[in-house]
Amino acid sequence: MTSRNTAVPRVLREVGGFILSSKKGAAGLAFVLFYVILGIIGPLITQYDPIYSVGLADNLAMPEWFASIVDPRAPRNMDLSYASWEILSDRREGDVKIDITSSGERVVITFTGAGSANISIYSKDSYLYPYRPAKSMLIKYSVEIMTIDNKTAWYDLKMYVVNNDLIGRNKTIRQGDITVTPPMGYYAFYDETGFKITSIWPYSNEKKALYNQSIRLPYYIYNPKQEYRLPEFVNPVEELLLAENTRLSIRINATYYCNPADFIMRCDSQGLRIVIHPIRVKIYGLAFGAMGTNYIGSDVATQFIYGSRAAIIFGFSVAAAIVLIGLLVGVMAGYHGGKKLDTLLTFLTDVIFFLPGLPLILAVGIVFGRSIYAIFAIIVLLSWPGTARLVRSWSLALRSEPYVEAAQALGASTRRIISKHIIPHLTPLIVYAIVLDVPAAIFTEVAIQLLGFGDPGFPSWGKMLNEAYFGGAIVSGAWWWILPPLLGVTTIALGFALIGLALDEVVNPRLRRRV
Amino acid sequence: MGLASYVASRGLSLLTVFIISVILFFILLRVVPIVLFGGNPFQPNQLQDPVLTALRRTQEDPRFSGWIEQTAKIFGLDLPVLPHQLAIYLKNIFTFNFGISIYSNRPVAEEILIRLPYTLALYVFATIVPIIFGYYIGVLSTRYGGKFVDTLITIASIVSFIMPSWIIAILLYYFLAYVPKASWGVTIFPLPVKTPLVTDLSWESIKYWIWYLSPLYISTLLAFFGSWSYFFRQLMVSELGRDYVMTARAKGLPDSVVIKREIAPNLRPPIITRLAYALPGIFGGSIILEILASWPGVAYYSYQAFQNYDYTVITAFLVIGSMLLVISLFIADTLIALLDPRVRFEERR
Repeated sequence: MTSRNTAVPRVLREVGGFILSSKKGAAGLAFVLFYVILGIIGPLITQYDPIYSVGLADNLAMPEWFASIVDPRAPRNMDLSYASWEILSDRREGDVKIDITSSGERVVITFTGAGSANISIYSKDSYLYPYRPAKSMLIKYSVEIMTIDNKTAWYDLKMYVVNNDLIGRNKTIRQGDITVTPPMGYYAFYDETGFKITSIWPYSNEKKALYNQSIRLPYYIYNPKQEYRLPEFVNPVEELLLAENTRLSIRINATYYCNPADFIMRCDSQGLRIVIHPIRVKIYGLAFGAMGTNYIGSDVATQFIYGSRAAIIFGFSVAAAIVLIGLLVGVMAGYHGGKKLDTLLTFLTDVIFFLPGLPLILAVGIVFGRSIYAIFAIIVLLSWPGTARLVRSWSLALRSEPYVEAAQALGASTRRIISKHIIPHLTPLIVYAIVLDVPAAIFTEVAIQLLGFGDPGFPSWGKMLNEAYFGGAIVSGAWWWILPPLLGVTTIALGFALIGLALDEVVNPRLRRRV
Repeated sequence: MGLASYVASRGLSLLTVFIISVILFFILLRVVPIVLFGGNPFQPNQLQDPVLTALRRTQEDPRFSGWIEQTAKIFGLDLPVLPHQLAIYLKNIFTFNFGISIYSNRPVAEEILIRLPYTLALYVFATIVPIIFGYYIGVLSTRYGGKFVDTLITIASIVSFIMPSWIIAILLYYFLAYVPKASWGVTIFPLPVKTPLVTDLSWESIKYWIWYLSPLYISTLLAFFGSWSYFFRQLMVSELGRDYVMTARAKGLPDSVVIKREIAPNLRPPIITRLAYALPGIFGGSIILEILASWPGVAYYSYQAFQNYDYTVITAFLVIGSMLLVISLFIADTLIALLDPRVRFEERR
């Protein structure tokens, strides 16, 4: 017998060689290795987070390659930035002075004096929009509005996304009996008084410092002061704002009002100052990445990659824990066969066979909370006796082998016999147990996640499947969302099944004796 | 020691296992939550008791005034949890008294009985047909041992053994129900939207529910036959190598007679044991399959109970499942002892 350090690796090499020598085993190993490698290099090939990266593109954006086949004009993500401005119109009454300066990337509009004024500024940049209309966009802006106190001048500020080529037109939309003709080409994303449902006065007097605001258009809040009202079925961004080969820009409209006769106003020299930082527009594409996006715009490819990582880690750690416990208990019970430990093992197996697996996991989930560690523990606790029984029956047979008896006769300790003579012979069985336990563990985790009792912070394929199945992937036709987790779970299980098939004849040698 | 004492000793050990597992359920569902919320399970009327809290919440509603006292009496809720309520719980189990659902205010037994026809409609088929199918496939595989058919069957069995039924059900629903319907307007399988009434036994309604459940029937058949055919094949192959089979063949008996007369009696005990573990699954069912098909069986009901922490229903579900398993294992042990005298003698040794 070789020394302890090389006996197990040697048998492992033999088992590995056996797997590789059969076509099925090699194919299965290739499947499994693919997911192992994908899981290891996952963070290198994707820069997103599987759970927290949301809104990378529009909801249910299709894969890029699929879009280039079926719909090349499908909208892609566009990032636009507006930093330089020019005056479009400037109307004033009374002795209002308007001063527009740009410092850095910001533009500062200062109103002073008594009277009223209305100024519109336009972004100098306008960007060509080359795709079919997208369904939504995100506007990021920062605005500071400075007055001295509530008694200084009153104002209103409106900011719009404007389509230069559509503005001034109206669109006729019919659905059933409803016909509306809303104006096209603009959409307000900031409206100081318009968005205030309770304000009756068309001006505001509040100081504001709004940094890093973002608003997703279209917004679905009810806005009684919106300049046009739309029926619910109209998506204003898609139908009224965007069109292929048109130019997009930003318009800002500021109104100033200060009446010295009004006793609550003071038109002192400080006046009103509006600071507008560069405005960024992100148009959400409907084609994104290798596998598209899910219902909140997360990257499905990232989730798939991290899912393979989760599956491999979870599957192998569960299998390792099961096999470790099963090996310890099984070898002890088998080597000392027929004694107390043996009876205890049989009894434990009986009890655990009585505990229903999935309901018990749900019960533990509601009692201890939905943690991946609790799920891990309960799966291991419910699964080890099967392996222990298998190991026990094998070591029971090994105990009466001549070389074990010889070692016993030479006075070798129990520990030495088990580690040097019995465990190496159990190696094929251990590999076989791992191969069957890994997919079972993966499937159990996926099943728990599918039921909604899984760990919400664990980015597994089950979480994807749960979101896809109950989040309407089937009904909305988002096959790129529901098929990857199904495919992942199925192929990884197939890989292990093929390896198991190759190992089957090592572990069950009597099956080789064919009729 | 004869048959009677063997059966009695097996029954006693099964009963012990059953009581231990039932106590485990009680500890997990009743004692652990109280301890986790910081209560002492040895004192009565805990504020930290989730069941009592749920009851107190409904006490304000006059409609529920009567059944709170009833529930409290059945479960001894005004007594300390650990010695007293556990004793009452065990007494209730052995008198088949499962109390009233905390959530729906109706007897648990009644709630389960309403759903039982649905469960039976699905799982009688889903449990038994894969066994029969697996048996014939296993025999076929043994007959063509080592040939192409055998390899194919072995691959199919292992894939089927590893693949869970709900993955196959999702794939069936997606590719054979949704995609044809959405893409070409063809209805092959129904989408799980309009659940049939299985208590209506007219021919039309039976046809509808069989069609409605056909994706589940197919997926359970595909998912469960593998382990059975593999099991039967393994049994047959190991028996076929025995000396007595060789003797029978040497006598010139045809294969069919060898299998029927010589091998089959030896296969009975392991088959009965496996059946004893598999058949109680008819009651438990599969939560995921029922959710996927929106099928209102017992498993779906237990899932709702888990979501609502409907303590009485959860307990009833777990306990009835274990009870059926105990009974079926006991019957199996008795049958095996009747069929195979070796078992009795081995036990004595």
